[in-house]
Amino acid sequence: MDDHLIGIVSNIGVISFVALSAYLLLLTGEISFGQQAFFAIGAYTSGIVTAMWQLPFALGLGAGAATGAAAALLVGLPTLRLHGLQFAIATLAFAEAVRILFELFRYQIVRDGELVGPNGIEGFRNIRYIFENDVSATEFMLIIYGLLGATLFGLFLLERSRLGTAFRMIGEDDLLAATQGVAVVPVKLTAACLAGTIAGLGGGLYAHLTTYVEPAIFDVMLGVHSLAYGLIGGLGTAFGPLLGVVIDIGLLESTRWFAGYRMIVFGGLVAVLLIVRPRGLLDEQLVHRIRRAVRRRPRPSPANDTVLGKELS
Amino acid sequence: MLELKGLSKHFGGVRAVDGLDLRVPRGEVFGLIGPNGSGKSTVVNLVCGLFPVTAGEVLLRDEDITGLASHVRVARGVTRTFQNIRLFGQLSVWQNLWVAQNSTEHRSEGFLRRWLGGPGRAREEIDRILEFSDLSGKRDELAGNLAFGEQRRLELARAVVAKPALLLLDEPAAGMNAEEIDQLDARIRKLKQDGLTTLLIEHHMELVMAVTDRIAVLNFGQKIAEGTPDEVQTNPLVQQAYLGVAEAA
Repeated sequence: MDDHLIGIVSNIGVISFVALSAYLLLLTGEISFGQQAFFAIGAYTSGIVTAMWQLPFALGLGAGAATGAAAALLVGLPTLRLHGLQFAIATLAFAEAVRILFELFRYQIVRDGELVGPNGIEGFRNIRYIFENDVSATEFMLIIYGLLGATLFGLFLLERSRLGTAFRMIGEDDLLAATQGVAVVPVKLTAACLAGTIAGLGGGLYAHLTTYVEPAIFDVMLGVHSLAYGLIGGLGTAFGPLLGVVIDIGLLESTRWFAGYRMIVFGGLVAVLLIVRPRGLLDEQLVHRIRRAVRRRPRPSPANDTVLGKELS
Repeated sequence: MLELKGLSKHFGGVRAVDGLDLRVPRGEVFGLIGPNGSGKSTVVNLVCGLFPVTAGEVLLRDEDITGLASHVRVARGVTRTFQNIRLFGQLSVWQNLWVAQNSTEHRSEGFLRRWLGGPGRAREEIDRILEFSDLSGKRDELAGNLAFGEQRRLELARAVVAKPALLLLDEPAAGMNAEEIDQLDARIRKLKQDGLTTLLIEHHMELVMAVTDRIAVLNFGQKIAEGTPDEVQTNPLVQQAYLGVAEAA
C-alpha cells in the first residue's frame, strides 16, 4: 500500500469512531450534534499524556477514552432529560463551548528545549509519539483497525444483549419502553457514556495519526458528518455508520472524481436517502432479511399462519 | 390486589377521573366499562404510572405505589396492553418478548447477567408464551411486519411474559372479529386459572359479561355502579349512561 492509501484508510478508521459514537445515540432516538466534543477531549487528553507527560501510548488512549466517558456523563446528566430538538440544540451548544474552551486553553511545558502543549487557537502540535517510537504508518493503521474491530465486536455483543435491545426500544418509543420495565434515563445515560468513550478513544487515535490538533477541526461540521454517516449507512447494524464513512471519505473526499463537489454530493446523498430510506442503507428491515438468509432458517410454513391473521393482513 | 382510593386526574378543567374508589380482589377478572370519554383508559394510565395522579392513592398488595415510575411498577408486577397497538416494530417478535421478560422474573440476577447476557436464557418460557399466543411460527419476524391480529396477540403475550401479578388490558378486543374475540376470551380465562388478576377495559359487552367476575361502571370519571355482570346489566343508572337518556349520577 502506498502512503496516500494508508493515510486514507487510517483516516476512515479514525472517523469511524465518531460515527459509531453518534450511531449509539441515534439508536436511543437522540440526535446529538456534539459527539465531536468528546472526540476533541479524547484527542487533547491523550496528546497531553503522551507528548507532555511522556507516558505510554496505551495510557494516553485509555485516558482519552476515560475523559470522553466522564465528559459524556457530566453532559448527559442534565441534557438526557431533554428530547428531540431541545437535546440536539443542547449538545450543539455544549460542543461549541468545548471548542471555544480549547481555543482559550494554554498549557505548555518545555521539552527538549521546545515548548510543547495546547496553545489556544494555534492548537497542540508535535504529538509525535509514534514517530519517536518508530511506529510505521502501516503499523499505526493496524492499531487503528485492531481497536476499531474490538469496538465493533463489543457493539455486536451489546446489540445482542438486553441493554442494546433496550437502546433500540427507547429509540422507537420511550414511553412504551418504560412500561416494559426499562429505566429510560439511566439506560440513555449508559448509551451516552459508551458513546463518549468511543469518541474519546477515536480522538486519541486521531491526535497521534495527524500529530497535531487544533480547535477548528472539531467544529460542528464534524458533528453533522458523524450523524450523517449513520443516517446514510444505516441504523440496523454498527456496520451502517462504517459504510457511511467509507462512502464519504473513501469515495467523495479521497478520489478526484468528486473534487470540489464533495459537499454537494454528500448533502444530496443525505437528502435523497432520508426520503427513500429514512433509516439508511443498512436499515433494520434489510439487516433482518440478511440475518434470516444467513441463518437459513426454514421460512415459517403457511400452515403456521392462522386463518384470521391472513384475512386481516 | 389493586386498590384505588379517591383517585383523581384532571387535565386542565377536565375531570377525567374524579374521586374513584375501587378494589380489585386477587385472582379475579375485573371489568371496567363506561361510555367513551368516561375515564377508563386514564385509570389504566394512572395505575401503570404513565401520568402522575392529581389526587388519591394507588395501592398494590396494600403497598402505596402512587409515586413510583412506570418501570418500577412493572418490577412490582403491573403490566399492560395498549388500546392502540404499541409494539417495537423494528424488533423481532422474540425480542419484544425477551426484553419484556426482563422486567420481573430476572430482577434477582446481577446487573451484568440481566443487562448484558445474550439471548441464551429463558427460551423455553418464551416458547411457551408463543405457543399460548399462537405465534410460534412468527418468532423471528419483525413485529412491525405482523398482521393486525398477530400484533394484538403479541401485545397480550408481551404483557404476560413478564409474569405480572396484575394485568391491565385496555380494550384488547378492539378491531377483532368474532373468532378472535373467542380466542381472547379463552386466553383471559386460562390466565385466570393460572391465578392472574386482571383489570379489563372493554367496549365489547359480550366479552366483558362472559369473562369478568365483577364490573364497575364509570361515567364522567365517577363510578356509577359496581357488581356482578348480571347486577350491572340490570342497573337503571348504567342503562341511562349508555343510552344517554339523562345526566347520570
